[in-house]
Amino acid sequence: MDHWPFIYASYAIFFIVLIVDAVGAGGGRRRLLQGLQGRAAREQRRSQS
Amino acid sequence: MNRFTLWFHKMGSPPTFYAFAERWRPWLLGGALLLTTVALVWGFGYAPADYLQGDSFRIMYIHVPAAWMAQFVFFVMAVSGFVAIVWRIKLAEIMCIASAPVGAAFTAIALATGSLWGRPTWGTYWVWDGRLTSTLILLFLYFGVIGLYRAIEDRRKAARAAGLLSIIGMINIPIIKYSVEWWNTLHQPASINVIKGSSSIDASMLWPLLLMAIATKLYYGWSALSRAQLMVLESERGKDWVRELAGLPMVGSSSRPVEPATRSSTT
Repeated sequence: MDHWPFIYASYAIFFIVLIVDAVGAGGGRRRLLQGLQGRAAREQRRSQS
Repeated sequence: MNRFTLWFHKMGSPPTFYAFAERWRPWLLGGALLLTTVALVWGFGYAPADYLQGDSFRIMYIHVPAAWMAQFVFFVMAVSGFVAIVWRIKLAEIMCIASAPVGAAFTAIALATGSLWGRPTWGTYWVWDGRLTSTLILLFLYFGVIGLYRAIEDRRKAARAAGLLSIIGMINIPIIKYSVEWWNTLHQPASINVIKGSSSIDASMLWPLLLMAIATKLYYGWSALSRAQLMVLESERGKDWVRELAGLPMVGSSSRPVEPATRSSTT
């Protein structure tokens, strides 16, 4: 039996799962800060109008 | 108060913790990437094929560190949960919850890569033996902790409930560890004894494995600190230091512009 397809599949799973985890861990903070900035901008526009 | 206790108390302050995490995150991720590269080049380019398993043993370089991390992260969660319940430290609650997704990811990797290693080695993807079944239960425990935290609206109560489940779930960790000794399993016993410092793996194959073990720990540090930072920001979103971080005008009394009347009265 050729072992390499199993090896490639294992490493693909390893990197895909960790990349998904990294996006979830690292991307959330940027979205939150952008959300805070957006909310403040909306509040400022509302107070001016 | 010794230095460690002082540091521990300082970390209880959200801005201090946030700054600490911000300082260490790039080093943790950089170290993880560097060590992973070195370990995989070593493991694939220089380590010889196993005389019995052939090349499929190279799956070990991700399977074994992932399986170690699956148990280690749950242990960290249980300790954090204990600290959160006993001393009501908010950052312990946060570290417990922030660790759960990456722990679940490592457990899923361990199960999937073990299964892919099992097919060419054992002739089957899955057997219901002690080690495999208890690791699957660990994955369900991770899902349980995450689900319980999301099901309760009050964040602090949710975190303490998740911490309690982590403590209860710790009973599964020695079962995973000793399952290969207690029961007649298809999974082989441990090749490395950390307590005795002994290993049945040849050094040419062992070093890439140890480097990957360090790399996964550094990655865990990065992932958990990143999620913890996000949770700190969410819980402190109204505070001046978070507004300053987002580039917003501050509303707190300490940084509010001084009123003309007040200014004239003080001068």
